[in-house]
Amino acid sequence: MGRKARLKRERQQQGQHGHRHLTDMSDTQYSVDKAKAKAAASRRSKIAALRREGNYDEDGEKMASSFDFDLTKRLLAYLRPYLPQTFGAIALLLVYSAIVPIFPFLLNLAIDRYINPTSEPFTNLTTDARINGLTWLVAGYMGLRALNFGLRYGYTYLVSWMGQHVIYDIRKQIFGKVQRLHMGFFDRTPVGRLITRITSDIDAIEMMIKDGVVGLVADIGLIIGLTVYMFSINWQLALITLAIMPLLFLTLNVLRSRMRDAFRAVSLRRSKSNSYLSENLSGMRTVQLFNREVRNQAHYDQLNLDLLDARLEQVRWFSLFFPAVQFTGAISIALILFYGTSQILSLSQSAVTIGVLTAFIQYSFMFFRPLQDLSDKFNIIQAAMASSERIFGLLDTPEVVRNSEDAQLFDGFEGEIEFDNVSFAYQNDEWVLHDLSFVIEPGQSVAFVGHTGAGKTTIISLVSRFYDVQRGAVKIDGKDVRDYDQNDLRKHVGIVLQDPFLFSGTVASNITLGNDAIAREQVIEAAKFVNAHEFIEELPQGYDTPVRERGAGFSTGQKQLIAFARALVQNPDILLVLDEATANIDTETEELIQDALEKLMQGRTSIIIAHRLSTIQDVDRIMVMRKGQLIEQGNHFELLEHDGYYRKLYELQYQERPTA
Amino acid sequence: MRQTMQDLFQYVKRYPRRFYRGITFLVISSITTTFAPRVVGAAIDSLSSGTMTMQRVWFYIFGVLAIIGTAGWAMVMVRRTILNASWEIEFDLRHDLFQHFSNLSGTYYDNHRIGDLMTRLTADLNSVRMMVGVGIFMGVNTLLMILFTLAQMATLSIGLTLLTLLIIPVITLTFFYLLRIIHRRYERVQEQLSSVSAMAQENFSGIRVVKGFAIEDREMRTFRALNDEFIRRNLSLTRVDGPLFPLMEVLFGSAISLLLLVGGRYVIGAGGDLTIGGFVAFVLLFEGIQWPVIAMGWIGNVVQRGITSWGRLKEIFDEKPDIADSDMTNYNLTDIHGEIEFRHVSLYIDGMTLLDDVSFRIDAGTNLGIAGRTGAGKTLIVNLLTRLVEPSSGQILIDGRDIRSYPLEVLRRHIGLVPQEPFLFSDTIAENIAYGIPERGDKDAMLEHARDIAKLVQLDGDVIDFPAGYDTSLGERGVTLSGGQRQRTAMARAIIRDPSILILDDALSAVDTQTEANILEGLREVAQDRTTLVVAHRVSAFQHSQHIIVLEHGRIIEEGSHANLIARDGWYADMNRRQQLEEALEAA
Repeated sequence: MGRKARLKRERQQQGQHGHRHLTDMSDTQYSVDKAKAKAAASRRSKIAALRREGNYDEDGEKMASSFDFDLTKRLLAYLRPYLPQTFGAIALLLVYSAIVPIFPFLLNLAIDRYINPTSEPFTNLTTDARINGLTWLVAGYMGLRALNFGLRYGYTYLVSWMGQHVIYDIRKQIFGKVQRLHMGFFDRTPVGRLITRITSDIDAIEMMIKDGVVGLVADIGLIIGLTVYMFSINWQLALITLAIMPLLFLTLNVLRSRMRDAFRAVSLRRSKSNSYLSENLSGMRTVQLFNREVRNQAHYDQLNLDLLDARLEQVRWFSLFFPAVQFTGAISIALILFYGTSQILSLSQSAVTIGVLTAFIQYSFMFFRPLQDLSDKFNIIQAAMASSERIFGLLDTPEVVRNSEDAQLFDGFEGEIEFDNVSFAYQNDEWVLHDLSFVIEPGQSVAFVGHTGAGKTTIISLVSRFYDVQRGAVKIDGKDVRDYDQNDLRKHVGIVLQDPFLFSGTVASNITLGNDAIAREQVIEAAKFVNAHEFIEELPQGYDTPVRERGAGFSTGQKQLIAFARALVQNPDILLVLDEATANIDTETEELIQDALEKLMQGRTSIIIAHRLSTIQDVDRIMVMRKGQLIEQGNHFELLEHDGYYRKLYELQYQERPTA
Repeated sequence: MRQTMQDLFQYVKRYPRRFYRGITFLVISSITTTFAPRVVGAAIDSLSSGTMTMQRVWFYIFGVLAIIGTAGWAMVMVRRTILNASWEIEFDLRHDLFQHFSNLSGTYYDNHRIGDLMTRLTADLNSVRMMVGVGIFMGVNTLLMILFTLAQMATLSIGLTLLTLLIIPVITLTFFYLLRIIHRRYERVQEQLSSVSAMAQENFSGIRVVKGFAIEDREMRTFRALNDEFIRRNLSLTRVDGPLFPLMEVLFGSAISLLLLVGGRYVIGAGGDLTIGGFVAFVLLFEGIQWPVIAMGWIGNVVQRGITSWGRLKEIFDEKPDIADSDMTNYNLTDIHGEIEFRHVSLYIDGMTLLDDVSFRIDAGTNLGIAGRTGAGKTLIVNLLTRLVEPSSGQILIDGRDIRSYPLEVLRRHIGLVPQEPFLFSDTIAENIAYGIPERGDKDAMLEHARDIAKLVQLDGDVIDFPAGYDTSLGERGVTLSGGQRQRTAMARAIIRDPSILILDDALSAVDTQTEANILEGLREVAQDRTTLVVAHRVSAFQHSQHIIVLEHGRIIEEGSHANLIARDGWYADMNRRQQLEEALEAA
């Protein structure tokens, strides 16, 4: 919205001020044609700002422009396993580059010897001998072409193979690293950022290896090859042909940098426009309820007009690129013609022949391509620097929760859990647990109750060693959890989370979590045990029903039951259940869940954090938490008699029962 | 195909001047370009026959420079006319799409995943733009180039020209098919890449399960398997796109070989008469159409993809909004006072009865409470009133008139809705609050106004603690609001519009009781002369409601004032008791 339009609108509004309903009538006066015309009129004056914009990335950070030697070294180290392929590719590339300049030379020979012979002994050849010679030359020409096809295909394939494997390695490394990082890392790192590392940052590195480094070698190889041939054929003409190249290189560099600036502005503005559209599509109901259609249209148009500015700027410079190359070519031809003519006219036996002239015209054109690309290669390498810096930053993140040196293998737990003066904070000094101590006997079931923020969830996280405690120790079977192998520990501790996370796959694969060693019978048995079998059977494809991302289409209750089956099928020695769901679960499913829970807890050490007090009535012990401390404990009846916090909680929920 | 061309021509014809000019420049550029080799050829002939002098060489030099200069200038103009027009057309397409999207109703958005929609849209817009811009420009360019080059060639040697005519289709078709295979394999690579990122995304989001069940190794294996497939597909792509340029070299190498062989014979004098200059000119002409010949194969693909994409965009354009103004609409209605009546309203969706014969009536300026369990149909009443949904039977009246007689724009302007999970935009807090009021030139006044309302809903205290106060951005690049803050922002957003009907759809579920009481007190001042609908789970939210209805399974099971309902000792009274206990507990 321009300033004029705004002023106009403001005046209109002032007229209406004081009325109860402010009308949006001015919105309907928006005209896209006027907006376009306005944008077109001011396009020129916005170019400087557009170019500046190209220097910053999406977060408004200045684009890195420095070439970092250490980063490069670390990146190149990824090529080490593929040294044979790397050197193979480079060898093929060099042979190829050495052959390419032969073709104009062969054309030169064909003209000067057979087609239009100017010197002894070729002037004396018979027509048949000339045709014969020409045929042989062409055969050689074709042969080399075929060879070059193989060489170029070969090195292209090798380079791509190499690039693929390198990014495979890096991607695997990042993924593995993420698997080893502690939970605290995920609490403060958005998933989106990790995805960027594994997608676009890696792409930049692949580009660098495939197009950047190898392309650079190819371009430089070709430039050297061409220069050598040109100088060996005729050094004066070579100098004349090359004279124009620095000028071309500089011109193209300027054009490239303008195009790059415009391109950056394009991608920034395009992503702005796309995210605006995406947001509007997601919130379209709100847009419509608030009558924002026209105004948002105007805003969206404005974003796209900005994008259009950048596009047109890009076209402006891009349109000059090839004509500039062509015109430089014309200058080359002119120079070659001029020098050639002066040579041929002034000397009777000149080294410059028509064949040589033709060859040099072709050489000058062949020189352009690597020259055009060269500056682009540097850009690609530079872009990869920023990405690799971010990737290495992730790979270098310290792993806080690690296996101790002398972690031993073991077969399973008895199941005794002890908190020994545990204090814990997620952040700095914000203590969630204060000096907490308790012991749970093997096979005992314990429930934690209390308000949100009392520290119940933390207890479960600590038993699974998602975090390490700051003070005290969490012990299982008398041994600090930090002394077990993390994997072993968690394999024997079954956990059911509050928001049951389903992976895409099938219902069965969500229960086995992809472990093929678990037979279908076991899956069904577990599902039956936790009351999930019935509803799974009713699904269109039973256990093989596909599950979409995040389990869309399944109700919370169903997801919960699947999560129970998932925990049960692992046959854990210790069971941890987070079941604070206040969510919309219908009565029937709720009963199934409660029944399943009771069965699950039988005979194994269990910690349950439950919202439904009816669920926990049957546990051996109930611990009431408040602000990170244990305030009451005992079984249901003891606590009721005690007439404390628990009793009030109970009364509250008891009231709820009849209507639930 | 014809339909697509007709549809798209609607866009092309908005820029007649650019396309005419562009095509004129194309003709200039291709004619001149094909003359350059002739000049070089003539120069060589002149050298060969000994007629060249140092004066004459200048003629050739300027000839080459002038011709290529003109061709280059024309090419610059071509791109700046036709390519620019194609970007303008993309702008127009985006504009039209947005306008269309703004008119589609909620059900469309319920049935489409926005992520998928966006991916498809961006890809399709690009393909269509490519067809309209690059397709036209390159298509005309290559045709003209080939035509003029052939004409030039024919004046040099008929035999060699016929040979060229044989070679061109072979090369073009080879590239057309190769590029098509490449594109298909490229799409398969992209598909696999999205599987890889989807798997990573899932793993990262579900990291608690992954770690909790110690399945990191298995996840690593799955990830590796996906990546193996990714490499396999990539290499299969490389196998077809790797040979692209080598193949080009070898095909054109063969063509040049043939020209050398046949053309050489002509020059030598066996079977034809061609000068050496003519021969060189011919070779240069042939090299000049290398790209156009390949480009034809490429354009074929661009057009194919463009047509498919336009088909998909057309599907979107053909989508009709299911709730819109109709012939029932009376455009003279511009005001709403706020009397609301539901007459035997029922709603059935997919054979399920969601609302069953709901009837009630409230006067303008009164406060109606709506209570009931989750899924009882409370939000449906709100959606019916804002016309996000239409009733299956029965009638809804506002100020005694059927709701459908109000223009949608008028209806929505007079209703302020605060949903339970409000959608806020990634803009500043001030802009979010002022979302529904007309833009003002005076930023400070707007801010002042927004702040007044924010104070009313107890939001101001939170906002001033943010890094940039009311100018703090929300969303990815800004702060993340808590549930309660979001609700209060949404409430401010609704109140600032000064609506006749204010609807709070469980809008205080995420704020504590004390804040709730303060907000309700504040609301009482501004709500005096407007109709207020309060949907809530807490009795405390109904303290200002004159009338309360209780829904269960889509039916009204109890209604009356707070006191009435307590006296009835039914569902409502039960809820009241429970909540009093809860309060006692909080206090404990």
